[in-house]
Amino acid sequence: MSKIAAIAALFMVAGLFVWFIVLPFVSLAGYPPSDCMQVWYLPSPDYVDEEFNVSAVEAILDDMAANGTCINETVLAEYIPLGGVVVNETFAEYFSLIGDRKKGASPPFFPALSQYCGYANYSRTGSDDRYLAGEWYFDDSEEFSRAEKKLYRYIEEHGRVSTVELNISKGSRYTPKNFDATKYECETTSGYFLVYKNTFGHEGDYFIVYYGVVGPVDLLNQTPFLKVLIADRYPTGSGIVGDLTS
Amino acid sequence: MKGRTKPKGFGIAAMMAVLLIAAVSAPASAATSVSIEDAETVASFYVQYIPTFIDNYSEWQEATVEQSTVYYDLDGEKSAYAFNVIGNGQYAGYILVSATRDNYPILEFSEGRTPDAITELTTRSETLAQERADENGLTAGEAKPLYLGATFYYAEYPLIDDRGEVVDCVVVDLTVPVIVDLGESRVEIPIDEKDLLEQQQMKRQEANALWDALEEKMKTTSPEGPASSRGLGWISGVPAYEWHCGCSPTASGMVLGYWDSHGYPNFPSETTLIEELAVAMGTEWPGNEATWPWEISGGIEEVCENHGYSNFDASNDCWMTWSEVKAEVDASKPFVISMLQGGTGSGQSQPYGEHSVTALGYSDYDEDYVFIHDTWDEHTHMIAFGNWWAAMATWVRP
Repeated sequence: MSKIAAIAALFMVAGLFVWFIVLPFVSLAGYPPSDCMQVWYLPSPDYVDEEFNVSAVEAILDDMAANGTCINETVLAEYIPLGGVVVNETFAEYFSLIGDRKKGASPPFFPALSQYCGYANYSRTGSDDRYLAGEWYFDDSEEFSRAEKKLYRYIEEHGRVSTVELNISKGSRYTPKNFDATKYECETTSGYFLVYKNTFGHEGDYFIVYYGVVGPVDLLNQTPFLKVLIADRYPTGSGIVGDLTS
Repeated sequence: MKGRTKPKGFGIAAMMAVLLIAAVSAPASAATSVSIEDAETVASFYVQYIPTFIDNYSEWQEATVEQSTVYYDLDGEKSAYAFNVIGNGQYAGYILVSATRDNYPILEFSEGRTPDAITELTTRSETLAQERADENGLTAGEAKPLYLGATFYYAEYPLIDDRGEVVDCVVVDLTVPVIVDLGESRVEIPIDEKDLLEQQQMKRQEANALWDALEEKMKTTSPEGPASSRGLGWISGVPAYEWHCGCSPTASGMVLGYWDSHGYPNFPSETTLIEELAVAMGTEWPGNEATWPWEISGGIEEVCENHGYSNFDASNDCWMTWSEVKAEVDASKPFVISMLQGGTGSGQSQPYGEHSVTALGYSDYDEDYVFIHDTWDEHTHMIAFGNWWAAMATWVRP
């Protein structure tokens, strides 16, 4: 057997080992990392990858390659639009995202609770109202419990707090009909806090999310809109949804 | 367009002949004529494009073309240009490009030879022409090659008298070979002139549209050659879904979401589609939301069938090669890559591990990269090809 044939055979055996011995014991879940989780439940529009003049970019890259430039990730990221484009500006029936979802930024009006946090502002078609969705993510249950208590104390001190039952509908047959939420009313913002636990199908994911309106408003009138905002990203699989624990 | 291994056309039906002859016999105007230089550009492009959709022509991938024969119609106008295909320095076939935009741009291609390049046929044809000339005390002159439609190759010989003047001509069907009287067959077949004109008009419009489409394709493809040898490939319009019910149903959902907006509009919206895929591919959802890799293709096909698309073929390929990745992207067919011990994608902070993503592009320069939607956010990311322990492709082809 020639050397090349022997190497090829070795690769074949290795491949067979991987796919027929190892693969049966490996399932694919691909849970998102913490820095993606921090904006997971902030509603956003749909995106597709962007159309661009492939030939023109290719010509540039060809020239660069011909001149000895290494076409690596950095170069490619400079010339290829990786950000995606919004399909429809309006989503969740009437909402539009103002700016981007802000990763790693603590939601305004509330204390810092986690390094993994984010928020986003929204406008609603046909109104001047401004909406806020905020999120704190934890991968440690004790840290989450401490943060939950800290937040509860804070909102009790700054506004009116109560537990209410909300029901939402979403285009999923698995959506629960109702769940508890923490209602918060204040001069600066009013809305609902929700706690999502283990919603990615494994232990160790904890989220505190807030959906509210900015400024002094009648929360009762705003609740139908906030429920639409909540429903847009509501977890439909496993896990627990509930209100804040004091 | 199918390649032909050997020119056919033996025992031509007179009716067909008249139709085809009539269809190409209208003189080409200056506006619709194609120069041999332009035809050569088209031929050069097309010979390298053919291997992307016909496996048998893989050796044409690096082939070049050289001018061979100019064909005429019965009015003496140029009808087609033949180019020899040269691969590895040797004759590898021919490609025939129309000399007028009123006919389809690529008329034929084959690994064989045109009839006028087959010595046996040309010798027999010359003999027939000379026999006819002898009967009239004339001499047969040099043949003018005629191309009157698919596989209709003729040679027109001038018949010359003692004073060197052309007094008649004889046309020989090269493929039989036999002398034909085209004028006679024209009057023998009764064809409605109005219908014929309409057919000609429709054919011209169709042909013009094909020329436009081919030129557009040539513009958007690298001048270096065909899609398969390009440095960059990209499928635009692939949705970026975020992880829901598991990575495999989400990645598969993006592929079907792409087809939903590309001719297969019966698929449901994002969330429902992913949930249906999760159920069909046996994802443990609700649960740990993990999927066995070998279930992916079956789940995709099941969902397609449930929405009335039984023509979708999804197949798992544990031996995904770089050339397959490029060919699939060049064919605008996004697909799923499932990795074991996948590395870190650009812009991400954590390696993919055991993960399914949607592939939508490639970069083939110093290092090979695959552009992906990784289900973790709405952006496009890239991962070096092979930056995993093992990877399986799930090709999804309608």
